[in-house]
Amino acid sequence: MSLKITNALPELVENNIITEETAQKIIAYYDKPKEVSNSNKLFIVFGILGAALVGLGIILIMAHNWDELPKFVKLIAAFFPMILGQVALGYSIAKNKSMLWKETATVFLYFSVGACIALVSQVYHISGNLESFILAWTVLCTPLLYVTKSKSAIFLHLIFSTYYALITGYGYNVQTTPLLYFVLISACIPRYISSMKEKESAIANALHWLLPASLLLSLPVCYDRSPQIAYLLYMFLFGIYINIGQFPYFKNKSLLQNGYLCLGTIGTIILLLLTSFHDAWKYDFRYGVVDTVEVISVITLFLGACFVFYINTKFQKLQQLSMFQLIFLVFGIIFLIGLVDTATATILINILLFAIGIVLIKKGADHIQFSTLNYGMVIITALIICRFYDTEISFAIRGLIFLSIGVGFFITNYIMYKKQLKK
Amino acid sequence: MKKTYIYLLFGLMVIAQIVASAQIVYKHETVINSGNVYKFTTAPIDPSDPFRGKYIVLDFDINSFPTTDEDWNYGEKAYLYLGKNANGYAYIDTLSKTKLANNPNDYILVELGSHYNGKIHFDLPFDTYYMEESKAYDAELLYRENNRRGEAQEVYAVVHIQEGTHVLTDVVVNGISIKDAVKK
Repeated sequence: MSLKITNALPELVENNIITEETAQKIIAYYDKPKEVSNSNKLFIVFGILGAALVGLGIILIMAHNWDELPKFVKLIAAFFPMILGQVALGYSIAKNKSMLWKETATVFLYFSVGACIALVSQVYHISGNLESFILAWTVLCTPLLYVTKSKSAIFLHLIFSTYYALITGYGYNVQTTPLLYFVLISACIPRYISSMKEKESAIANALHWLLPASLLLSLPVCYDRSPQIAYLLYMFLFGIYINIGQFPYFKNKSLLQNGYLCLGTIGTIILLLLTSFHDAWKYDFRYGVVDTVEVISVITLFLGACFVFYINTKFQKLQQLSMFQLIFLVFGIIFLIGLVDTATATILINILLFAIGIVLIKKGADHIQFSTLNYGMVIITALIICRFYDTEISFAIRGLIFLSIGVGFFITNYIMYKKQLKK
Repeated sequence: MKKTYIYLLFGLMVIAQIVASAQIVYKHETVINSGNVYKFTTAPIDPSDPFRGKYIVLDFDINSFPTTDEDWNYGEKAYLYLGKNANGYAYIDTLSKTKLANNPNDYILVELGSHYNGKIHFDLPFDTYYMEESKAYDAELLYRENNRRGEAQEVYAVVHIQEGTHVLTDVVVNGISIKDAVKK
């Protein structure tokens, strides 16, 4: 950005748009401080990478399990890196050292705590499973989120909390422990909110993707034996995402900076497409067992989605509300119908998807938004492709339909292009 | 956040991190020094853990308790009371849902499995023996190789037990520690 501006300055001075003095001031503003902060950022990134690699290296060296070493040497090797990390971090806090110090010490301490627990349990052959190990490690490192304003601590916390959810939530007959994952995640929420208050925070922008992605990946901790509940949970979660994505905070942000809206809208459509198959309702609804934890999760997510929608109605006028914000509610009703009559539910989902596609195409055409128009057409196309799997249609007719959809894409975009040129 | 709170939080974190690992060391060292030693007959197999490295999983002969009582919940913990024969091998004294105040024998907590064929099945909690990376697979091979030849092989795990805490200290194959047996 600064290079573009400084390159344009001679031309601006020549044409008397700005004075020579102003041009000098602009050059001084962009050049000096930026160089310093950029080099600092680079050092911090290398510091974090270095500390992470050293920490992981220690874990791997320990994992070799040196039989020849006496037990006390192994124990010293376990505690030494952790105490070194604690001293380095304590020193950087006491002397108020630079962020480079703090970030590096934080990352090093994070991994050395893991290495210490791992080696101690290795020395005494403790059979504890991977879940309890990751949980102990994450909990012991949670204060790192707050003792320095380390950015890497948030990412490490998020990664390990998600990893914990992945190993506890997936698999057959898993123990569902949603509460612990949500407790871990909520520990980093105050840091997330404070990063949102910073202007142009790259960390906040990254977290707008990582946090919803973490919740999305970890949702299996909320259900176990009832596949039908999963549909409902995911839809309510997407409902929450879409409504958060519509908050005034995201109004001036690009779609790429709004992970909630992207994940919410794409996820909603994928889920609707999955449930547009009759088999999804026919087979996944056979299981009558629903656990208490699943009921609590469904109610919590539903109330959460209603709450964020309610907040949005305070900020937005009725006409400004997007239909995506209410799909979770419509799906909830169709789900209840599906419990009694699976065929009607399937038909309703297909109608809903078709309606979404048509509305998006119309909206795209009215406002000359290529992305919205094409998104609507992609939904209709996906719906048609999905129906190919249900019905017996000859290959020739399938081919012709595909061909006409492709031609349709070209023609619609071309008409839109012409319309845009006219305006 | 105020500097005092930061120091307080940092101090608590440092103490928690050290105590969490140090108490494991203390508890296990106490059991090794003053606990009773039992032998559990077993067979090893070799998987690995991404953080703690290679280990062998032990498959124990003691894995069920005959009982007509079918009221056991899958996944719950129960107290396994142990006795020891003249050669030091462990045998089951009794399995109880609650801690028995008047049973003088050593006990360990076990996770219950299913009840079938008149027996309640369970897993002993010390089925992981960490080994040097290069040796774990060889340990499994050594066991399988010996078994294939039809040689009667004596494999047992040495476990120290005191007040419910247990420490697995060695796996012995035909009188030699599995670490040394692999070297040969």
